[in-house]
Amino acid sequence: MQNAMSSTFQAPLQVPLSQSGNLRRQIKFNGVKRRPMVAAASVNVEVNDAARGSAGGLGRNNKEVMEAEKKLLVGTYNRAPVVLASGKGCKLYDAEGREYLDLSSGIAVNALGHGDADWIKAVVDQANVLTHVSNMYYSIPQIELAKRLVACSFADRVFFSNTGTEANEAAIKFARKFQRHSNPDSKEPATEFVSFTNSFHGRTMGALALTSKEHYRSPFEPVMPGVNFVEYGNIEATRKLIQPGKTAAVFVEPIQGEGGIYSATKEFLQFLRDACDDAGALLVFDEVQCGLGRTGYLWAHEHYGIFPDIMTLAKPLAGGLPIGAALVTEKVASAINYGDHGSTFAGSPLVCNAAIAVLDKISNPAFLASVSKKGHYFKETLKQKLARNPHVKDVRGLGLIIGIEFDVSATPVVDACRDSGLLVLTAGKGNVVRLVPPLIISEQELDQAVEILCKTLPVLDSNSN
Amino acid sequence: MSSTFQAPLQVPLSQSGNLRRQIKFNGVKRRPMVAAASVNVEVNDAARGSAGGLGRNNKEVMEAEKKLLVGTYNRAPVVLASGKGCKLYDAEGREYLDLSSGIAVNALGHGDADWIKAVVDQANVLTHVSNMYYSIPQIELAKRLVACSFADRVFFSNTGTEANEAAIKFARKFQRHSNPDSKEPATEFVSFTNSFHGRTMGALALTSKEHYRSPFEPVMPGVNFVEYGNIEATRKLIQPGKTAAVFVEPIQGEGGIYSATKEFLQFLRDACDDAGALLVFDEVQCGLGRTGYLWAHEHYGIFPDIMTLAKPLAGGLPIGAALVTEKVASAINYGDHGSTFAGSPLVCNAAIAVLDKISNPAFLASVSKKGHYFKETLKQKLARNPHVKDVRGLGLIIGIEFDVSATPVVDACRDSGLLVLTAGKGNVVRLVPPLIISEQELDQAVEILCKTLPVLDSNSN
Repeated sequence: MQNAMSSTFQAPLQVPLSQSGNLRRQIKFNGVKRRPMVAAASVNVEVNDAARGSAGGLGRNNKEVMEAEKKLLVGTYNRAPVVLASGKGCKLYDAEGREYLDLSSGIAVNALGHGDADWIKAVVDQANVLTHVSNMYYSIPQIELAKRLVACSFADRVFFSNTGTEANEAAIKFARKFQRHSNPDSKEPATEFVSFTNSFHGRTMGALALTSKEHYRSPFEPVMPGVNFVEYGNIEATRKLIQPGKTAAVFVEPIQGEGGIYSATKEFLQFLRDACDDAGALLVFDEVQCGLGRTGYLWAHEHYGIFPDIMTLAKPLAGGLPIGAALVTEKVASAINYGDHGSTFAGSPLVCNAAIAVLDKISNPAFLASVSKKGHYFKETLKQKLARNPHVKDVRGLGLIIGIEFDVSATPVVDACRDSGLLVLTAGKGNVVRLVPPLIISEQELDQAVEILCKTLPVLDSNSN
Repeated sequence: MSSTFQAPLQVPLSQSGNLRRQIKFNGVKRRPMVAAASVNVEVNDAARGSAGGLGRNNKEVMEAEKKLLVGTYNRAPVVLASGKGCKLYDAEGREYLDLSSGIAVNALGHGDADWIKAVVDQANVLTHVSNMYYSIPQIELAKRLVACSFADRVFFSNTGTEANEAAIKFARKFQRHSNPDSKEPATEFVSFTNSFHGRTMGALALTSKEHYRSPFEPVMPGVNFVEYGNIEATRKLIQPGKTAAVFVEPIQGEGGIYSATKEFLQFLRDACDDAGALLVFDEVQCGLGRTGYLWAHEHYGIFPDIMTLAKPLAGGLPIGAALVTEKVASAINYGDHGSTFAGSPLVCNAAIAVLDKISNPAFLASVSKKGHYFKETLKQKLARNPHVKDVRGLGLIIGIEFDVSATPVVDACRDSGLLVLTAGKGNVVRLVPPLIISEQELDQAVEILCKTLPVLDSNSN
């Protein structure tokens, strides 16, 4: 397959190959056998040095990059037509230097914006000392990070993972093990889970089973068995499902992000807490998106004053590096033994040192107060300015996770915003604009965002039914 | 561990004024200190970077771990604080020769200058944007992976278990896509004894060790296990209309350093072709130069439909990848799968530095040469020890099988400044050094290993 990106190949082989001398399989494509160029055992791919770091060998124009993606990556992502190449604070720049105001934070990941100096220092310092040793051995940043997480939360212990879906997988395993450990004589331990409509817990087969969107699951059935879905916020319907001897745990996002920016009521979370206690089930709060300062509280559940047995985290924790965590009570931890679960990468010195820099900043009371203040300002300003637009059904959220619900698809607004230099996301059924800016965003930048949003709303009229 | 707390609250709390739940521990209710909505934890600046607030002695760190982390890991009593090349140093400055590479992750050793440069450069430009948008290092990395492999396309994940989860999903979607009218598409998987594919519920279902799975049942259904290398038994299991894919490690790492025969892999290739099933090679541990070939399967000249990678790809940063043929990729649509973190500019830029180095023909030739030297030297020196049943492996993934538990050897090596791993049922010493290790360091490792063997006599049955 000759393509525009040339590579040079050399073919010294250590061991003579079998008769099928082509190292690349003959592939039938549309019934025609292709004989692509031979890839040798050792490949020396010419790389433009500018390909590293900021410029990018392909980086000279957006179009080239987008076309290359279409050829090289499995087509899982329907990406916005923007090639992001650099960033600073709440600003991002594409491959051609165009500036965007970032209200997406890489899906609520870049809490400290782009290029935070303390985060960079933590990464650079640690990269020069020790990056990874695995969990066969002890290392210090992991302990330091765990110490902080335990100190500033309900939890007694931490399990590190690499992503949010992995944190939820850990919670799934801990819950089932907990039930078996608590009821060792039971022939049928409680193994089922309760999860909610409009939930999102991840894409790996366990977390996926807890994720309500049917078309995320159906092509991959059978997924992990034992999950029952019920309407988010519906106490009566949920009451029937949380059963002693059956329910291992209930998974809930205090504020549903992907699902549409729906906040639980205090009544609902209190009901879940009580129902779980009565049934001997564990209560798991998924704060992968709404945790770590996003709401103006360090933990979203602090807003409600209700505490889980397990809390899962990820997204902003290491400032953009892959990380996840399951924070648990001693009760849960006491059921877990050596070898029950693990990860090669998780808890590495480098990623944990980066996370310490992030957590120290976010957990600062003044920082959280500022998020709360800016969030309130943003929501009120949006309400004022958008109230009269007939397509706007609701403006909701807490702190700096805000949703604008429309009575039509929000996609035209998202596209128009992007054309005007503002990056926002969608949520729910695609009719909600999701605003999750870096927590360091300024009021001035929020004003700028409001202005662009208002300016783009007319696009809904030309597209509405 | 002291921390200071402040308690300005935005919203008055409910009656349960304690933000920390009252926990029953051994029947006694504890009322731990109140954690406020905002916490300012005093941090010793030395806690960042190399020194570590706790770092002054190994014992402190180990005790803290026992209190703060969920007890999943039975760690060796070593607190590693820094590293360079193939040397690691504990919190008290003691040196170790590293033949573990963080479980076959640190292929370029510790502190590789090009890797550090790639990380530092990219961290100062752009770290993460998510896959809602395009970014350049991801494309550059994909380009290289496609160019130097059988694959046509790449899906990035963050770990090996996630790469295998992607392969599971791609295989099932492929089957449904290929047989849209079928009421019962092929959804089952064949996996092998002594396999290890990961700890998340899908990859876990493919992992043979029963006690890894049983506490968490029911896992993902549809997996059939059969003996690794047993053609006749496997033949019965790979069935058209039933089998979505076969997952196999060309060289089983965790399982005991067992290499497939060419005959076995060729059989799998043919059986999958006949049954319309996909063949997935898990090269998370044996791929990326570990065997002296860029891909372990090149040693056999047999090609999969999907190959999963992780461990060494980004030099210690979390990454995974599923490399697929166009046939497989054509079944996958927008929204079928995804990841927030995967494919980030920072991690991919680090991976480019690693891949460019590893894929260099001279580098691979050197791995092959050193691996051969290491294995032959081990064979010579260990041959006469009655406990040594086998020395096997390819390139720089080598196993020494004993007729007893290898733990005393691992412990004695550590006491002598050498870090090695185990595998299989605990009777195999697994040697997976950084690929940059020198012959001199290999000699040093052999010497220490030989010196420690007598410990098996005092412990043997």
